[in-house]
Formats: sequence, C-alpha cells, structure tokens
Amino acid sequence: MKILLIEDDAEAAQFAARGLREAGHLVDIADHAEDGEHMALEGHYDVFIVDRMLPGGDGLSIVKKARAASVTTPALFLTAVGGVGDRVEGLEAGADDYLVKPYVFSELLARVNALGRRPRTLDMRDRLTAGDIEIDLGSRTARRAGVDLDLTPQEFRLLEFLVRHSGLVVTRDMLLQKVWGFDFEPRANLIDAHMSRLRAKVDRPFARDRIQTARGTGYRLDDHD
Amino acid sequence: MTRALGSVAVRLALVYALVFGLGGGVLWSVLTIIVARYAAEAITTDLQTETRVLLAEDGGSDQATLVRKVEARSRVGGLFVYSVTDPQGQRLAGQLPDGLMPRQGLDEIQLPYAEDDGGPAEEVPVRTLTTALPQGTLVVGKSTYAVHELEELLQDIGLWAVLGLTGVAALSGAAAGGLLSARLSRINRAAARIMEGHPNERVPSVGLGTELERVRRNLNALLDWQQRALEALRHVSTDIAHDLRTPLNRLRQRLDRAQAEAVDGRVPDAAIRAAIADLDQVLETFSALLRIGQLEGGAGRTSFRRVKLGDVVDRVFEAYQPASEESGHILTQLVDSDAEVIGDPELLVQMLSNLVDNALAHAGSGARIQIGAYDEGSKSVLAVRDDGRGVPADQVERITRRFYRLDSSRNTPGQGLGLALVAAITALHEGELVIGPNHPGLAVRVVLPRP
Repeated sequence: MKILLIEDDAEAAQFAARGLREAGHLVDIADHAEDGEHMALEGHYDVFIVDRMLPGGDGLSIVKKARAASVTTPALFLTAVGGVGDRVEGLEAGADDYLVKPYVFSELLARVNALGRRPRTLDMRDRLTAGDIEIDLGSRTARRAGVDLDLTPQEFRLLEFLVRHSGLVVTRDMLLQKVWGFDFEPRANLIDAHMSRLRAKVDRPFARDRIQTARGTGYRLDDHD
Repeated sequence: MTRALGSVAVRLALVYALVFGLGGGVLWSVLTIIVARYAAEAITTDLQTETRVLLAEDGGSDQATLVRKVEARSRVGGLFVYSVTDPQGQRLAGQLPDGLMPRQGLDEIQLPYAEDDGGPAEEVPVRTLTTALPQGTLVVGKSTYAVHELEELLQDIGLWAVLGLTGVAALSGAAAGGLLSARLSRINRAAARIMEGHPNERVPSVGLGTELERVRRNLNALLDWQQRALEALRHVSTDIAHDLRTPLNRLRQRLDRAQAEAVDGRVPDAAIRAAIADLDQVLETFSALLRIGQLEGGAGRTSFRRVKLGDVVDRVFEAYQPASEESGHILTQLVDSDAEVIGDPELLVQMLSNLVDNALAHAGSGARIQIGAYDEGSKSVLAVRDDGRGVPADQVERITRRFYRLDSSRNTPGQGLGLALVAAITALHEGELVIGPNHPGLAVRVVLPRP
C-alpha cells in the first residue's frame, strides 16, 4: 500500500516508516501541516497516518479538509493527544481510527493493514466469506463448511469482525474498541476468554483451526481454502 | 475623548439629554401652538359679539344711532377700536386712521400707537372684523398684542424649561451610569485581587437589583468551578511528580544493572523486556492520572446524554462473563430498573468495568460477583458486590485515594488508581460513591441522580 505519514518528529517518523516499509508498504513522509495537506489532497494514497500537533496546524484540520474535498482515503490519527473526548473528536473529524502514543508498532501495523482492507464504499453485501466460513449479515447467522454455527450475538459480532479482516492480524485493542466499544484497557484479559469460546464453536468441531494466534499481538482468521 | 464617550455614565447622560430635550421641546411647542390658537379664537369671538351688539337694534340701517354708539364707546375707551364709514369710505366715527381700510371679514392690521410719555410711536397688531352695512361699513378691532405677548412668554418659558429638563436628565443619566460603573468596579477590583494571587477572593454583593446579583452569582460559580479544575490539575501534577519518581527510579536502576551486566556491549533480551514492561506501567499510570485530572476538571460533560443504566450493566456483563468464568469467579447481573441518567455511557461503562476488575483482582477465586442496576428512592444505583475478602472498615475511606493500596494487595498488579478513576467519574455525574461491607465481601455502589 502507499501510505502518507504526516509526522513532524523525524525520529518517530523514521521509526514508523522503517517498520511499514519492512512490511512491504510505500511510505511518504510530510513533516509540516501544509505539506501534509497538499500531499493528502493531491497524492494518491491508500492510507493516511496523521499526527495531531504539527508545525503549521492541527492534523485534525488536514483530515477535515480532505473529507471536505471528497478524499475518502482511510485516515488514522497517531498522536499523543489522548485525553477524554479527543478520540471521539478525531473520529468525528472524519478519521477512521485513532491510536494514542506511545504505541507498539505491531498495533499500528495491524490497524493500517485493516484500514487498507476497508472497502472505499459502503459494503452492501449481506454475505461475507472467509475460507469455508460464511456469515449472513441479514439473518445474523454463520455457517462453516455448510454446518450452522450456534453463536451468541456477541460471538457473531466477533466472528464478523474477524471475517471482515480475514488474513490480517487484529489486535486485542482493536477488538475491544471495535467489537465491544471499550476505549480503555480493562485489567482482565477479556478478549482471550471470548476467543476461546468462539474457537470452541468455530474450530473445535472441525479438522482445521481457522482462528490463529498472532504471538504477542492478537489473532488472525485464516482465509485460505 | 473616545475613552470618555465609551463610559456608561457619559453615554447614559447623552442619551437621557437627547431623549428629554427632544421630547420636552416637542411637548412645549405643541402646548404653545394650542394656547395661542385658543387665545386668537377668543378674540375673534369677542369681535363677533361686539359687532352683533352694535347692530342689534336695526341691523345698522340707522347710521346716526350707530355713530352715536360708537362715539360713546370710543370716549369711554374700552378694549375695542371702531370705525364707521359712509359708502364713499369717509369716516364718520371711530379711531381708525383715514385711509386704513381693512378687508371685509377678518383681517390683521398694524395700528400706530402713541406712548403716553410721547415716546416714538409703535405699531400694535390689531385683529379686525369688517361688516358691510346698508350704508357704509362697520369695523370692530381688538389688539392681539396680549396674544403675541403670551406666545412669546410661553416660548421663553418653554426654552428654559426644556433646557433645564435636559440638564437634569443629563445629570441623572450621568449619576445612574456613574453608580453602575462604581458597582461594576467592585467586580473589577475583585478580579484584580484574584489575579494578584488571592484565588479564594469572590465578587462582593453588587446591589442595584436582581440582574447584577445574578451576574455576581454566576461569576462566583464560574470562579469556584475554575478553582476546582485548577486544584484538580495541580493535584495531578503533584501526584505525577511524587509517584512516578518511584517506578522511574526502578527503571533507571534496572537499566544501570543491565549495562553493568552487558557482555561485549550486548544487553540481555530479558533486561530489555523488563525495562519495556516498567516503562509501559509508568506510561499507563501517567495516562490514568491525566484522565482522572481531566475528569475532575469537568472534561467529558459535553458528551452527556440519556443513558439507560440497564444497557451499561449489560455491556459490562457480556464483556466480562467469559473472562470471569475462566478465572474461577461467578459473575451475575441484576437489572431491576428502567432508569435513565444523564451521563456519558462510555465513562459509565469504564467505571463499572473498573469495579468489576477490582472485584476480580481482590475478591479471591470462587467469589460471586454481582453487577446490578436498581432504583433507590429518587436515585438510581450502579453496584458491584462480591462475597470475597472485603476491605477492613478502617481502610474503606482510604481506598479511593490515588495510589493507595491495601497491604494485602501489594502483590497484585495495578497502580492503585482504579477507584480514584471511579470516584472521578462518579463526581462528574454528580453521584455518590458508597463503599461498604457486603457481609461478607465488599459492596461498591454508585448512587446517581435521575433527571
């Protein structure tokens, strides 16, 4: 993917860019709000990563202007601005995700990959598949290899998220935020417990495990046939 | 000059003067016109009456009688002047000079008037009523000097009255404005005192009425709020300074040791991992403190809306149920309320989640933990109860303090900020945090006002 990274701290920018390039992405860096805005509006990128406190302005206004100019490129705020309400403000400005510094690189990579996957237009299909897993968004039912899976609404939401991001690593924080709406980190490890319940229904009766553990980061749904 | 024009006193004085000056002027002019017209009409009526009296007996056909009457009246010297002429215009009787012939009907003429002391002759305005007779004409006239005098007098009085009124108005405007300025300067003085470093100073009573009193009350409420927010932030910075030093110092020592133990400049992987874990904890503490500080300062109220407490309980219960089962706890929920409160659903979820985290960490394995929402009179309650170890009665008050940890829980992870955050969120929602025994165990109740 082609990524625009708007970040004024040179060391932080190089750190993120190196990691993203190692993961196979192309990265352009802008270290000033005006340059960043120009590149965001003119260039053709798959994902924007935007800092908030920049020389020349708030990254918030870059995203707002891009959205006003009908640039729908997914945007992620990567910022130290993480107070009460800041995340909501960022998402309301038109960003698709919000990651507060300091961050772990694997978290950023997972989120950037997930954003790149996101369809540009609203997905109207009501049927999603990953390998032999098939979910019906209308009736909110799931099947694997033609067998109905008996899932609770919560388990269904979790599986839906995994299917939408099949083949990609999703982190525990992503799941907490996107599936449970928790913007904070509970002390108890909620995700692993949910995942083991889901595995009991989705994987245990079948020969092959679809839900894989990405060590230290999260989970990945295997979408190979 | 522009500064003077900007003051309330000067502006009020000008506005009052303008309004009263214009109003008074218009009022007086109308009055003068009405009075003058009334006086003029009275003269006309007099002239008509006198003419009717003179012509009463024969309608003026007997000229000799008319002449005699007129001569008699002229001798007495009354209010009127007369003139009787023959058809050729020759004057037969009366005082009007020859050649001065007013028009038929009503007319206004100037009559020469000699002062008794022989001074220069002046002209007196006279209104005349000229009536055609069978032979000749009759003129009856009356001086309008008094009317003109009256008019002038009224105008003079009016001018002074309006000038005086304007002056008084300007003075009272200036006085009212000055009073207002003086009262407002009490507010300014209080503001200056506060900025000079007396944060407890408040605006004194201003008087002058309910509006200013309301301004004063609101200003003081604003100052209270500001001071609370400031103190909360100051508190946080003090906490950060004192309590982050300990873990940072530990991190430093760890790095020192790692450097000393490095073999050929290579630091063992385990040392780096431990240092990162230390640092993560410091950062976590840091953001928790910041969050508490922001909440205590009132941040988050902007996103308040109606929240159903049952939904908050549902979300937390569903998220925690599998994890608590895995850790050997029995988690149940009891929603016995349709109540809604005004609040931030995300913060309420975080608060409840914190309480469940606490119960899971401290109640001990096998404990029953119940998350509940129910009504209590006019209030609604979010509660987390467990039947675990509980907290000694003499320690209950201390556990909501920042960084306070019971000796018995020193070995479990955490920074001692969970309940401080719960307390901050409770306070933001104007609720009350009640921690007490659950016989056995601990009951933590957040009592929230219903809208």
